[in-house]
Amino acid sequence: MADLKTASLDEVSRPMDRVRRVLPSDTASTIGLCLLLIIGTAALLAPWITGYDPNQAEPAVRLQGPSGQHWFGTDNLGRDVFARVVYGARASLGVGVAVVLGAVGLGALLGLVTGYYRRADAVLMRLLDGLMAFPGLVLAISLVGVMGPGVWTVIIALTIVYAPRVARVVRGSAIVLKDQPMVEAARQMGAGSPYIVARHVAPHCLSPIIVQASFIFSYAVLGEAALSFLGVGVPPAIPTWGNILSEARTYLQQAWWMAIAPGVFIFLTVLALNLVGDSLRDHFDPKLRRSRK
Amino acid sequence: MSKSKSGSMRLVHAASRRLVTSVALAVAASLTVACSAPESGGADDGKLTVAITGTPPNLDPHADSSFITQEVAWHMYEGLWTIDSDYKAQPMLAKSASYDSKAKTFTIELRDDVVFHDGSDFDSADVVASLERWQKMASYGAMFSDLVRDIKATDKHQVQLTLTHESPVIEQLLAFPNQQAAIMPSEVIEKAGDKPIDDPVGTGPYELDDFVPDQHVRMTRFGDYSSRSEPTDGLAGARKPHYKTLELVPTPETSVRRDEVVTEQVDVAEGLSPDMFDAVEGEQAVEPAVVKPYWWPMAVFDKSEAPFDDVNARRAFNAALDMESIMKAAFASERFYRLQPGILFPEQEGWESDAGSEKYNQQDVQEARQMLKESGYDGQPLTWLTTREYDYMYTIATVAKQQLEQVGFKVDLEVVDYATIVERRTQPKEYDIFSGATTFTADPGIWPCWDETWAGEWADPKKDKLVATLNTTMDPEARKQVWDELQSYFYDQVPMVKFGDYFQLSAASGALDGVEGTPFPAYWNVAPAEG
Repeated sequence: MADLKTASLDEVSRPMDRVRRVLPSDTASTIGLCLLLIIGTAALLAPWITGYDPNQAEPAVRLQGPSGQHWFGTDNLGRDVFARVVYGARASLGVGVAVVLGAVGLGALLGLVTGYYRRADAVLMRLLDGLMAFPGLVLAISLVGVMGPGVWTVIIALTIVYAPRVARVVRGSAIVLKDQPMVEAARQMGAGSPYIVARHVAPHCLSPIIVQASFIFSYAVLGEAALSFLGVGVPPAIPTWGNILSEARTYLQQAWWMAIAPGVFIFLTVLALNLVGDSLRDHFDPKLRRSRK
Repeated sequence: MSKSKSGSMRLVHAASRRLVTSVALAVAASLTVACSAPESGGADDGKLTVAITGTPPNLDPHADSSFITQEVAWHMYEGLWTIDSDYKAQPMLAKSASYDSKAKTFTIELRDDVVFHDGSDFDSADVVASLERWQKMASYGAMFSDLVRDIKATDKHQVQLTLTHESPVIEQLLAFPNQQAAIMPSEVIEKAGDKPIDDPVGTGPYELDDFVPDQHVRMTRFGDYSSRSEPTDGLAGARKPHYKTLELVPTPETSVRRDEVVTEQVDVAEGLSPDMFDAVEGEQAVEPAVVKPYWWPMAVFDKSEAPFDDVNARRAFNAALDMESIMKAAFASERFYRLQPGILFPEQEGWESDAGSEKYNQQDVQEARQMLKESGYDGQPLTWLTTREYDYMYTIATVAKQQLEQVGFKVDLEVVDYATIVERRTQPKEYDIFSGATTFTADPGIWPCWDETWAGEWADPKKDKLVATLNTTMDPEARKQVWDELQSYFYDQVPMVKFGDYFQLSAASGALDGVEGTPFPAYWNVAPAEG
């Protein structure tokens, strides 16, 4: 048992090394990472790889199908759909990254506090359970309704929706870790609780946090798309995949390409994130790893 | 044997039960058919379902000027006059009227065969109370106030208006369906005061059954409705509500409205996208209807605050725009739009005017930049309230924003639902520009946008004087001259920007008769098609 615990702690002691090791050797995560790299690069280099302003309306060429000039066709205002989708990746992925940072940061902090301090646990986790009881999208719509539409509003709303999930996972790890001998030893040596949490508990929670981050990224991309599609997300003036889909719905019969392009990009991004997330989860799961051995 | 007999008996009993059941079902079916068959006079107990573009903020035509409120309301409320298919005023609750030029009095005889939905009698006290409330609350009512010094009941069924001036527009003002001078019971008005009336009580062919915002406005045929006897002509003449239930269903999504009518989930779909014309025309069960002329879309400025309190900023805005590309983006095909500067439509005989046309569709970027500089605009972002409930409003705002930013404006589009625009456009702090559209106006003197109390805060004594002259001049030729001068002044002052005329696409089930392509859709005379 002691060996197991030692091994377990050793396993999680240098998670980033294992992240580096697992990804290139895993086909699914390699595909996922390549897709993410391609989409992310396209988003970063949008001005150089698209020849059009994504907001430049050209009514004379409205609703034109895909062609050499407009790879993904044009929309109802004559805007280039390829340019809008590529620029849309910036906003959609940007929201995803911001939500990951916010939800992971807030969730990890809450998880550590509730996992380590029993009194905080009794109060905070009830609040977090209450938040988790709401369907995520309904809660996000309610929050956006209160705060008004906007990029930051969407980020804040989705952060509030997803942070409790991270908190719950981190709390579970923290509860296990706080009874470990290393924590007891540190306590006996006079270390204070904040120091123990920061030095001994938090680093060992990194594995589940990394796995959660990959899934929250995909949830956030979907969440932004859903909110924007419903007209309560990012303002329509900013191209995002959700906004482009939202505008396409009136023209599904006349201009299918307006919906296909953002739909495919959302699908590929979420697929890529899930492939990476699944690989990370499998790798960090000791049972699965032992069964592989 | 006994078993066999017993079995036979059970069979007989079973057969009897089946027979009885069959007979009962047949009788029930006959009764059902009999009940649902059109009553004498062509009435029907069915339901007519119409997909409309949004939820009315309320159902009080005095309190709310949005078209969607008015459309719902004119099925339940009636005025003293209404308009015919040529947009001329025709009596509705009024029986007749006479004008005494010496005394400047306008005496209205009222019908005595009318009752309200609550069973109370319609009389002159109701008219006086209603018109006084309308004067206080509606833009048309405010115009009416400028012409009428006093309203008094001179008999149970007679009302006398004392006019400040002789005027050719009194009946038009009382007839126009938008911001209708709806007649309500005096008791209801006394109870509600200036607050919107939630429980409509009118004299119209339908009465309210249930209003659930965002779900439906359900009305039922008013059993004691007293129709006029003249032949139906536009909104005038006989109203014979064929369907027992009229349900207007707010459906903000254009594609959903189209799909609902094509799949026969609704009988009529209003406000379809022009891009849907070919698809709708290709459907056998559905008839497309193009309403021409219909409305014109506009951008309205908050003229009480910077930057649009300065006329140069408004002129710069107007000068920058290329109306062809804006209208093309919004309405797809020239079947659904045209460029013309007139505030009234060319189809309105006697009112066609190109006064001020040199300032329409200028596309003069240099001039716009110069005027914007003169206005002292400091580059502050401007809030433009627009909506996707009416797709064209959002499209126009999007394309116009692009053109405006080329001359130096900075525009933030705020996309909200239409009810929010209606609410916020009365609060100048809430916007700099809002998207709107003006309905068909039968007479230039009664265009609601002239009124200072209408959204946009257009306080202008010269405009007021011209409107007053127009509304107190009886000679048609002299009125036309005043009208040209007023339209020219409109383009000089640019209280709002006209983009162009547009025409509406609607679709109705081919199994219906009486769905008319009119700017004022009304469904009381719609009936199942014969044959």
